[in-house]
Amino acid sequence: MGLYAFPFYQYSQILGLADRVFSTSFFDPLNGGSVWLYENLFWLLGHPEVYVILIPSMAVALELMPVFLRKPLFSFNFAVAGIVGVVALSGLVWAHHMYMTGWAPAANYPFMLSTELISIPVGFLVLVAIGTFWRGTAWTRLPLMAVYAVVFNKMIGGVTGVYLSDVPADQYFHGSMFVVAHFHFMLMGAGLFGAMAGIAFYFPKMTGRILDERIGSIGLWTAFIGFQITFMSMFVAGLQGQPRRVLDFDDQFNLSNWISTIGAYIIGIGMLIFLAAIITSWRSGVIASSNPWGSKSLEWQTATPVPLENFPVLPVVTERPYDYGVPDPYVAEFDSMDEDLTEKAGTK
Amino acid sequence: MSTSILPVSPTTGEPIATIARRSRLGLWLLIVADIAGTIALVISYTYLWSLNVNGGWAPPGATLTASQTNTALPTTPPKATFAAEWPFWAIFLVVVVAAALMWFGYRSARRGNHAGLMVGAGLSFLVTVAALVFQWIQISTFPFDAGDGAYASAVLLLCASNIFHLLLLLFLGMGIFMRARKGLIDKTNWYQAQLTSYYMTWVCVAFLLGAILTTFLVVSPNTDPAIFGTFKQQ
Ligand SMILES: [Cu+2]
Repeated sequence: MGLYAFPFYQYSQILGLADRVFSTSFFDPLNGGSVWLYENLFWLLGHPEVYVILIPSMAVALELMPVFLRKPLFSFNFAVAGIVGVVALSGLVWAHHMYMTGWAPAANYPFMLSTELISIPVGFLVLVAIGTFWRGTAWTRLPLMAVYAVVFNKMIGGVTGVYLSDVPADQYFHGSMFVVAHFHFMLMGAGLFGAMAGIAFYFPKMTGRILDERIGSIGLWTAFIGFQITFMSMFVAGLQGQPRRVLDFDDQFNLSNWISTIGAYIIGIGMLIFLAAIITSWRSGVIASSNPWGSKSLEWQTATPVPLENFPVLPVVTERPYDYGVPDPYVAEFDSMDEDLTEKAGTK
Repeated sequence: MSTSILPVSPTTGEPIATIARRSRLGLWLLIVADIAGTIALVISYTYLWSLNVNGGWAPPGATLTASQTNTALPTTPPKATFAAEWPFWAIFLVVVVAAALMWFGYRSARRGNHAGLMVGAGLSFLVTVAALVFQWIQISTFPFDAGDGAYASAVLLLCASNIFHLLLLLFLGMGIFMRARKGLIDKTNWYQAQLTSYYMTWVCVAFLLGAILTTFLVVSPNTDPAIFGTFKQQ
C-alpha cells in the first residue's frame, strides 16, 4: 500500500519544489496551476497512509490475541479479507478530505459511498478481534491489556469516522476539533497502543527479559486514561464548533481545551512510565524463557537470544501456528471457511 | 562461465529459481510504485489541461498573434508556444528499440547464445544512451520556459521523468552487459536479463503515455476557464 500511495505524495512535493525553484506553475493559479491538484495528490497518499499505520497495529493485535486467549482467531480468512479489502478500497476514498473545498461537488457522494464501504473491511478486523475474545480464556498479561485499549479506541475512532464520511454531517464537522479527535483515536489510539502491545509481546524475544508488568501496565493505563480525557474532550470542543488549527480560540471552548491539556499531560506521564518500564526491564528485568507466552508460532520455538541461522536444525512444522484449544465446536460451526484449520483438531 | 553453469547462486548458495522468484516479486513491486508515480504525472497533466485555470494552460505565444503582447505576463517572451509532437514519438521509438534489443539479448541467453546476449545487451545500452541524448536535446530546445504556463510545466515534468527512467535503464543495461561479459548470465541463470527486459517494457509504456498526452491533449478543451485573483501584493 505504501508503494502505491507514496509516489503521489512524492510527486506533490516534487511539483511544489519545481514551482519554487524552477518557477513552474503546477499549483499557482495565476499561471494555469491549481491548488486542487496538490490536494488530490496529497490525499491520494493521505488516506492510504492511515491504513499503512493502522494495519500493522491490527496485525500485531490479531497475532497475539490467539496466544493470550488460547483459541484460534475467530476467522483468519475474514481478517485477511479485511486487510485485502482495506488495501483495495483505500485508494478510492481520498476526496472525502475535500468535501468542503469546492472541488467537484458532484464527486462527493461517490466518495461518501466508497468511504462508507471501507468501514466493512475495517469492521471485519474489529469483529474478528471481538469474536476472538468471545469464549476465549483470557490470560490478561500486558500485551493483551494493550489490545483491549486498541479495540476500544479503534471502535470509537471508527464510529466517529462514519460521521465524518457522511457529506451532510461533514458540513458541520469539517475542519473542527472533532476531526482531530477522530484521527487521533485511529492513529494514536489504535496505532500507538498497538505498538505498545507489540513491544510488550516481543520484548522477551528481543531482549531476553520480560517487560515489567506492573510498571508497564501502570504506564499503559495512565496513558489510556489520559488519552480518553484528551480526545473525548476534544470531541466536545469539536461538537461545540471549535475550528482546528486555531491558536487563539473563543472563551466558550476554554473548559474543553483545558481538560484536553490536562489529559495530554497524563498521556505524557503514562508514556514516560512505560518508557521507564522498557529501560529498567531491558537493563535488569526478569530473565525470560525462550517462550514465556507459550506461543505456538515458530519464532518462539527457538532459543532466546536467537542463534545464528535461527534454528540449529531445520524445524519440522507439524501443526498450524494458531491452533490453540481446537476442536472448538463454535469455530467449526460459525466459520466453515476455516475447515482446513479445524481439520487439525485433536492435535491440540 | 565457470561457476554459472551450476544451478546454485554463486553469492548466496540458494537455488537460482528461489532468487529469481524473489527478485521478480521485487521487480513487480518496483513497477507498481513506478506506475503510481506515472499516474500522478498523468493526473497532473490531464487535470491542468482540463481546467486551464486563468487561461494559463497554453504557453502565452500559442494564443497570441504576432502583433499582440501579453500584458498579464510582461516578462514572458511572446514566442513561447506548444512543443513539436514528433520528438516525443521519436524518443519513444528509440526506447522501444532499446527494449527490443534487451529482449533479444535475454532470449539469446536462454538459448545459450552468449554472443547474441552480448550483442543485445551492448546495443541496448548504446541505444539507451542515444535516447538520453535525444531527450536532452528535446528539453533544451523547447519553445518555452518553465514559467510559461501549466502546459510547459507539465511537459517539462514528463521529460524529467523520462530522463530519470533513462538513467535507470542506463544503469540496468550496463549491469546486464557487464554481467554478460563476465559470464554471469547464461542458459541456467538468465533471470536478471529477463527482469531488465520486463522493466524496459514498462518504461516503453511510460514513454508511450507521455507521447499520447503531448500529442492528443495539447489545446485545453476549457475555453471558459475559471479566473482567480493574482495573489499579487498591493
Ligand atoms: Cu481519509
